[in-house]
Amino acid sequence: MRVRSTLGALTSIAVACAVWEGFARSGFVAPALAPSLEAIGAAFVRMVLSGTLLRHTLYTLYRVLFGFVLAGAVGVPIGILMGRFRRVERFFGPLVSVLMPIPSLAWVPVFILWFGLGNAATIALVFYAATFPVIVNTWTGVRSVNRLWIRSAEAMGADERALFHKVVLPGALPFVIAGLRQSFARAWIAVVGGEMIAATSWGLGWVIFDSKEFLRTDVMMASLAAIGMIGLAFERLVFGTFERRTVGRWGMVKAVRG
Amino acid sequence: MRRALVPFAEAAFPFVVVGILWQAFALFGPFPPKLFPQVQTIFAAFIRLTASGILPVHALSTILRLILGFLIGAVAGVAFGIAMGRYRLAENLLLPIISLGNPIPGLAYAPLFVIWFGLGNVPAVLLVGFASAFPIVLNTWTGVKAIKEIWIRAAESLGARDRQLFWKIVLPGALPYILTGLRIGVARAWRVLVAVEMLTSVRLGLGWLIFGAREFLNTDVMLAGIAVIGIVGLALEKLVFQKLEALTVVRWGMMEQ
Amino acid sequence: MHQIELRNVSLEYNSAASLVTALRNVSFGVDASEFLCVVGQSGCGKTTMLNIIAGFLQPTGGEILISGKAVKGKGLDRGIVFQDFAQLFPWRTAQRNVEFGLEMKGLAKQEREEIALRFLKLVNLEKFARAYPHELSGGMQQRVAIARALAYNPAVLLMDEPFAALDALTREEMQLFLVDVWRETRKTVIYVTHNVAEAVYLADRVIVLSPHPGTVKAEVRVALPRPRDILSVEFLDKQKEIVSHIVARK
Repeated sequence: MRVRSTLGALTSIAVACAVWEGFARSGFVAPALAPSLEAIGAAFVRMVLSGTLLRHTLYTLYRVLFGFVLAGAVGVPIGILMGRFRRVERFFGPLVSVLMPIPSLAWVPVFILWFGLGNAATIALVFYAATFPVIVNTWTGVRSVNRLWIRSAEAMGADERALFHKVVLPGALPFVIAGLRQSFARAWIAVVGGEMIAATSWGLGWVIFDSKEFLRTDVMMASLAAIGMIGLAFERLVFGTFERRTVGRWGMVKAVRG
Repeated sequence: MRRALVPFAEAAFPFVVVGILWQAFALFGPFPPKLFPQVQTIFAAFIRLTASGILPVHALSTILRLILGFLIGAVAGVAFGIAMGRYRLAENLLLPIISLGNPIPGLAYAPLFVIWFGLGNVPAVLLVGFASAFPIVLNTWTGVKAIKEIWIRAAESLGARDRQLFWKIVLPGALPYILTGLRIGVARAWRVLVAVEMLTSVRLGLGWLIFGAREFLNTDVMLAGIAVIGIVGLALEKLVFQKLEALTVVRWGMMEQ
Repeated sequence: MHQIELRNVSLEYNSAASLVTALRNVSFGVDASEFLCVVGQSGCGKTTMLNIIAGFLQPTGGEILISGKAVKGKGLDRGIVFQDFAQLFPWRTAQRNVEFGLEMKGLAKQEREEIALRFLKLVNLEKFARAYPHELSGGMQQRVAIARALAYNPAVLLMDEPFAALDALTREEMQLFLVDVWRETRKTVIYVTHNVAEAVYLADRVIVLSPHPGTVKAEVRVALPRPRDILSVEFLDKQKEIVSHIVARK
């Protein structure tokens, strides 16, 4: 089954590549607008070899991870408090539902004025984007901890602290992980967008923005590919592994899309 | 009368607290007033811009772009999703590409679209459609596949043919998923749109308004613009989607409220 | 003196429509090592009563005494097994689940593991000590739940229709198994069920609860020797006797 779907995936990608290649080489549009796969590949290799791709990636990763970890450190406790205490829920709930729909990138010009051009503004942006999904999902997770677990634990003499550490936290883990996943996706968008709009120096978003000036679509698409691959890698390797080792092993996985 | 006020006051309380904190920071904090305006300055800017018609015009053009772009994305997304759900061939062909494209932020394609379509409305609208299509396709596809075999068999044994099956079973059955996909799609569209307006130099739009205000350090205008974005987003969620869900899938017991 | 005694236990609450009396003046006693079954139709309040004994609900009237002392809230003197397999903690192995009560008691690691394994052996699952709940069948999960509830040596074991969600064959197996465990541990058991045959099979004494409001309608002794033959005449007679109490008008 696995082999089949991989084969299918490869076939369809091959078909897509062939279609694109045909389109690019057909002369329909100028090569600067639709570079052939060869050109994209060449640009990609060039960037890897010269070390520029690595440099840009590191800058972007630094910004996104900093903001993301911060968001987790702030969002998880707030989510837990909201789930346990009605008062906290009533306070933060309205704030979250009003602030969360505001696109993080809307804040870029304001953040630039406040934090100046550079890392601080982008990191603040990532933090803003990443915190809300973490809060909401952690909160939902804590609230949906199966009452049976709580009752069983209480019947066995668990006090508040034991309940919290040994039942609520592991019980809410599937949701927390789903939240962190969503939050990373948003953080990724925020960092790329922030780099583009804030025109920071270095960074994958900046590369795309900059290559627009010189119509370097091959560089652009190579960078796009890099962005996609890194995002995917994080999803599969980091979150996927963590999920498998914990809630996957415990049979508690919740499938989340989007 | 008093009864109705209590929940309202409760909901407003956190904002009052935030407002007080904001004011304190504006007055005693390290930022100059131009950079970190007091609450009443922002409010005044909001009133001024609304009264002069500037804010409504920008808001309207952003909303129009959203609607147009989202419609494109929704129609394309649902169509592809259904095709993928019903026909193995479409699924095998399209799913890998879509799964690969999904994690790439829609915004990342913006400069590309600018090169292809120039500046202005066209790339903005198309980009919105493009970005919002992904979650819609994926969720629609999931929804179509999740339609219980049993419903299809029951319908077929009752004499339903292909077209009837589609309209009477497949669409309503997949509706909860489609709605979820549309919801996520709108959120993505909204997020992309504001940023795109900043990048594609549309002449009218909330994103442009905020972006342009930085030249003269008009933080109060910026924040007023952000407030409008928040309000529109909230209105979209509450007025449009929740109502839609309430009228259909919640009523049919297919989704928890 | 009874080990467990309910004296005039009542529970009333306000629902949307009116004041609902879930239980009224429920009184009975349970002796040490006795197996008591509580039967009644759905909605007669038997689960509510069990929850009150366990301490999850507070009665609005009356009191519950264990070994002469009034019961306040939840505690380690009672063990409870629910019907839902999900009661096990999915993030802990079977052994670690059983260890939970011992952890709460503050036992050292070595001791905990020893005791937990002993109880897993009692329920014939020592080979699955390292398995996670989702890897076990329904019957096995319920056995772990029983081991977990017994491991910290509560005075009484409360069971709320624990086998109702199992298929008929597994259920019979589990009933037999439960009687063995009970004999070996000499625990006092209060077992709630809507299945009269099950009650006759398991219990020393059966209490019939009538609904709306829940009150004790009848008490029937089941003095048949174990192991009981469900097809014997005496067994069927007992069943009929209890059923007649259930359907009798007041």
